[in-house]
Amino acid sequence: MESLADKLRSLGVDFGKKGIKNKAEGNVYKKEGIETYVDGVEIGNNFGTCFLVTTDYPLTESWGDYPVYAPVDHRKILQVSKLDAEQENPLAQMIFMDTETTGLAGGTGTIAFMVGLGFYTDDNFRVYQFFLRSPEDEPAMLAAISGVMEGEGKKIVVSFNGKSFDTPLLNTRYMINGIDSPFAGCQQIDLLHLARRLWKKRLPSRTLGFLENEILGFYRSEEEVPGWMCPELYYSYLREQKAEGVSHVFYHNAVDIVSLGVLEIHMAQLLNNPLKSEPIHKLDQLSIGKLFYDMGDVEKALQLYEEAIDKSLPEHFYVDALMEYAGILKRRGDWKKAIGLWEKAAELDCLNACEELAKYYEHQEKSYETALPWVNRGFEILEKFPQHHYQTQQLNDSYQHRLERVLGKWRKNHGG
Amino acid sequence: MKPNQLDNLLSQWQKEPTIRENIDHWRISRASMGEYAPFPADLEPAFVEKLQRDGINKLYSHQREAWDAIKRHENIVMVTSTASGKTLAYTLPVIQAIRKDKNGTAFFLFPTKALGADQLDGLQEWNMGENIIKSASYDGDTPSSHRKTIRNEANIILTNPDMLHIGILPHHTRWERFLRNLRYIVIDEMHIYRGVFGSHFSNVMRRLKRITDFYGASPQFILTSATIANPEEHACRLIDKSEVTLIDHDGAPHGDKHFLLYNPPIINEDLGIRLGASVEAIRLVSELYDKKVQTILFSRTRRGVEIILKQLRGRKRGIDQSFRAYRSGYLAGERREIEADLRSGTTQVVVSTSALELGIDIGGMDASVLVGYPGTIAATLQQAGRAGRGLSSSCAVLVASANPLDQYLVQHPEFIFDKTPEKVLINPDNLLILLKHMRCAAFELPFKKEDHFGRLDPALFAALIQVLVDAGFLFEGREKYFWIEEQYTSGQISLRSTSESTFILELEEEGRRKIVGEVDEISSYWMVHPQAVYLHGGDAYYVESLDFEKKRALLSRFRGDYYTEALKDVTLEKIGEPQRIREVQGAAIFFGEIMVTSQVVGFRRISWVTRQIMDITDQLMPANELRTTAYWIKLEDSLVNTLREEGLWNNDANEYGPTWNAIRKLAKRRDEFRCQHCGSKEGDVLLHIHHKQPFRSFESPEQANRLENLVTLCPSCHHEAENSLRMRSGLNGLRYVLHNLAPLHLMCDMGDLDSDYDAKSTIADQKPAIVIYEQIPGGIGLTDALFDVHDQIVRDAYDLVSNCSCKAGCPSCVGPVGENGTGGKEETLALLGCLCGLDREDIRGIIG
Repeated sequence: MESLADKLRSLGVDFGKKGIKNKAEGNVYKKEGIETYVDGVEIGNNFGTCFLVTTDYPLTESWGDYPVYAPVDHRKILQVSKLDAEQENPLAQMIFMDTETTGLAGGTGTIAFMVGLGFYTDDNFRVYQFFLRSPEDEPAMLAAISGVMEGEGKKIVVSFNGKSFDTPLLNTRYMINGIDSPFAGCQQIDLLHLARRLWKKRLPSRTLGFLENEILGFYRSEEEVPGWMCPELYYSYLREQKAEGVSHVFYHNAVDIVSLGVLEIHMAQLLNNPLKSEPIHKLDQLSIGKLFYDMGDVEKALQLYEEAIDKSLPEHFYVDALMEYAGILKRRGDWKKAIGLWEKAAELDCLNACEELAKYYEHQEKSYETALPWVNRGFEILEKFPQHHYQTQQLNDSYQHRLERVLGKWRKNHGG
Repeated sequence: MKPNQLDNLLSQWQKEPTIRENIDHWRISRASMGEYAPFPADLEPAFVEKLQRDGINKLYSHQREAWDAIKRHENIVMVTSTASGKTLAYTLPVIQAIRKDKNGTAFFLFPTKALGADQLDGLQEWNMGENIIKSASYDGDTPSSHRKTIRNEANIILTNPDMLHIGILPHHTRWERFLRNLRYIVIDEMHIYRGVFGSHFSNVMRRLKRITDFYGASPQFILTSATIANPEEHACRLIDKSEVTLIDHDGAPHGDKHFLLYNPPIINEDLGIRLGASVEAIRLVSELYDKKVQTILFSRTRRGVEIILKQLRGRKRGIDQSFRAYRSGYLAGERREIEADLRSGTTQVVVSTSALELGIDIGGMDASVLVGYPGTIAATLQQAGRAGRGLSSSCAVLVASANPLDQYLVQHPEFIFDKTPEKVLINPDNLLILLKHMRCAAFELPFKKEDHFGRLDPALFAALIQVLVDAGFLFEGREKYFWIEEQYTSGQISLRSTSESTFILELEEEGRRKIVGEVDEISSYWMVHPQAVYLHGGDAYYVESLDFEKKRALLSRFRGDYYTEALKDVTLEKIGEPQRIREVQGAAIFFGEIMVTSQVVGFRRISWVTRQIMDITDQLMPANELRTTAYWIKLEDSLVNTLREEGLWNNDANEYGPTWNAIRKLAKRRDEFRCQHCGSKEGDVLLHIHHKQPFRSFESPEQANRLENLVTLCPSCHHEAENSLRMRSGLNGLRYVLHNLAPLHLMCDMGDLDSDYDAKSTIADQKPAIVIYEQIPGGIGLTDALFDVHDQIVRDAYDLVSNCSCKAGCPSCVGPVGENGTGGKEETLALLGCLCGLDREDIRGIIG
């Protein structure tokens, strides 16, 4: 009598590399438990039980080049995140969160098998890590998380890409389990978005791991496992009841969270004092300048641009900075200064600068003789640096158009 | 009714001999004023007003029936003709419900996006200024920025099964509001969901049910369908319910409907070749055009559309816009243009591919001409149904092509007009398909221990769960089973195939690559082997290369005049004992599981025009195994002996060519002057030289007489070999005709089935047998159904072959001449006769 499995195989069902093993023995509770490798306790509530690890990091402990805690004004960082800058005691409301999930695709089948929550107390940075010894622990974990959020009065979630990923995923889990989500009324600060705005110019990568090294000067121990391996380790644990692999995920997750805390403080400091931050990175200052401009703090933005623009910057950033700065000045009507910057950029073969100058002379000063050379300079540059086929065509057309218009107007003025 | 131009033309055709004699059947369905019912008393006054403004003062009887049945909380399936107001029938109850409860929601499911898009405008009209009923499409093209709003606010969502499968169900928490309030699920054109696609669809419905149960909703189903033999059965299987209310009495009014079955005349008696269907169709359409009768012409291929269009425009020079093509992929704007042109009379004739019988809303035409049988009776009726406006006369013409099925149908119009034998078959419990969806379902919501999956047998369900646990796809907790796969499941599953691995088909054109489709790996070996001509969506492509590693076939556009057919080396093996057995006349029939090991060993090129084989090329592809279900006929010795004894063949001496004697000697010398079968020596007996592949199947004597094709045999062994050949050609003919007729009874494509024959069959105890098996692992129910209709299909085959006007065989009955034997028509007819229970006398009489 052939087995169902054999029949399925001969029909062509692909059971993957693992194939079919003999019936799995029992469930994870019986075999090697997570307690063998990790120091934690079982906690219980109305929804069941799950596993919890608690770790306290003293506030003065070093975390790379910085202490775990330093007092700082959070108003700017709140403002950048479009939250109420004047709210009371923001740090007390902040919860630093990171989850480890069984996949990145989202959907209702992806679960967070570990949720880490960190927050500052008077003496420590405390990290709670909840872990599912089996997917059936989930309701208990979710309820426990709610307990922490409500009990500690946490209303601001600080995360790394959590706004798009972790929070929606947890919300889904709450919904599937029929429990109200504590994140519903919460504010979000996503440090990844901020990191991009601050360090896109200067740093090749903005992953948390990279920032840890580059910005905080913190390096992980050999206990670390890379994020992409975590789902695999959890599945091995579920399928084969081997806890050693997944035990490393606790380290990975905890470090993520402490780094979040330290990074947040550091970023807040940077935003508070961009001109005097040590070490001074001009590219960062330029980035912050743009950021301030977007927030509406034009004066500060101008200061930063003035301070940071320097011929010593890599050319491409220098030109971009000149154009951005000039753009701001133009909008304020500070033409003279803008022109100076455009001319500098044009010297470095910046097409947009030529266009701006041509536009200025044509529309503002109505001086067509002065506009013309800038149009021609534009053509020169196009020839020198052909862009992609169709782009060149477009730019060419637009310059041609401008040329004709300028000539037309000039002729008109001269009775031609 | 006053006779109009069409009526005049029809009387002319009656009188014109060169047309009249080709009309094998002329059916007139007399005008009907329609059957009506009043608006329901509780219909929203605003809706009543709108209908009255549109000129509608009462409902058709079937629309009212639908309303009443839905009010009684029944699930319904409506089978009424094209343009009978089915859309209104399902829209009214839905919008009424939403008007009363603005939180109510509904899914409108269409098989394609184009259909959905048309409906949207219509739905908007019911809002009449206020914004109470919010409708939107939700499919792959919906911009991400709109999706959230649609999920959170829409009442009616128009989508398709693929989107439901990949985009909606696996993310159902985002749809919480919509699903919690789900009242109706409308499934349009349910007959499209057949075979593999239909089996997948019904499992998607099972998953949907789990989710709606989770949110506490119990929506009602409203299905529409074209005419098929088993609407209730199919609807029940699709939505996994035990009963459904059938509404098939059509109350829509219509004028006289003329339906002509037109068979082009024979131009070559010997080979049985007829004038092409397109040629004749063009002729008829030209006459319709002259009489200003607005006509739609359906061709099976896009190429056909191009050719016909060109010819028509050529004939009526200078009036280009009178003839327009209707292509798939037309945007709403382009469709409006064609509609407008039709209304104004600027466009007289629209030429379209069969694929568009659904979804075009260009209003009614006066005439519809089908170039060749579209493949199913349902499609035939739908396309023919395009003709007819209000109470004016209309006319539909089916112009038959040389296909056996076309030819058969013109002789058996009852299949089209009286009762279609076409059943739609699906197998929701096909293991391969089922398993995939159980995995998806587990992703969506964990299974509980006492759970079930629709109406799937609980024991089978439990066994499958266990397999999934053992394979590591599910984690078994104390009370639940959790999904634990590495990859997002739905994304890897196509609703249109069962395969685990697919090949992408890429077209290289103007330096760029475009994906034109995909095929599963197994099919790729015979569909897109290198140098194959691949037909898809009406276009023809040439396969430049096939990359096994990258799973990709590179195609180029093909304008040649031939197509290819892969030659497969096939071995069959029974798996276990047959599940069903029955003794029939002269044979035994079986249904059961078999293992098909096949390998493509070459391919032949066949001319489009003459259907003759041009040449054969060797080419080896990887072998593969297919486990599936089959129906086979094993011939009993008694039948075989009867045929043998009757000596049905003429022993014409073949003209073997001038070098024949020399070659014979060479062959004998090579074979050491011994019979290669029994070893008898030259001298004891006079040795013969036998052609392994019959002489007549080659282009020239030189080819036929190659040494590899010759073998030395003694007279009795030679006789045996020749007999086998005869038996085989009759067998092959039987196989050919049954395979071709199968789709008549089962709504499937010929490609869903494959067939084989053998004088010494491995699955029939070395007796002669023909086998028809399904191309889908596990089968989908087709061969089981064939087993049921054996007597009928054998009878149909007999009718077809005996009435075919060819001499010795042709592609319209037993297969093209020149294949393994001399046509084989007589032998096949005799075989069929025996299977129908004719005795020796009758057989002699027929062959005589």
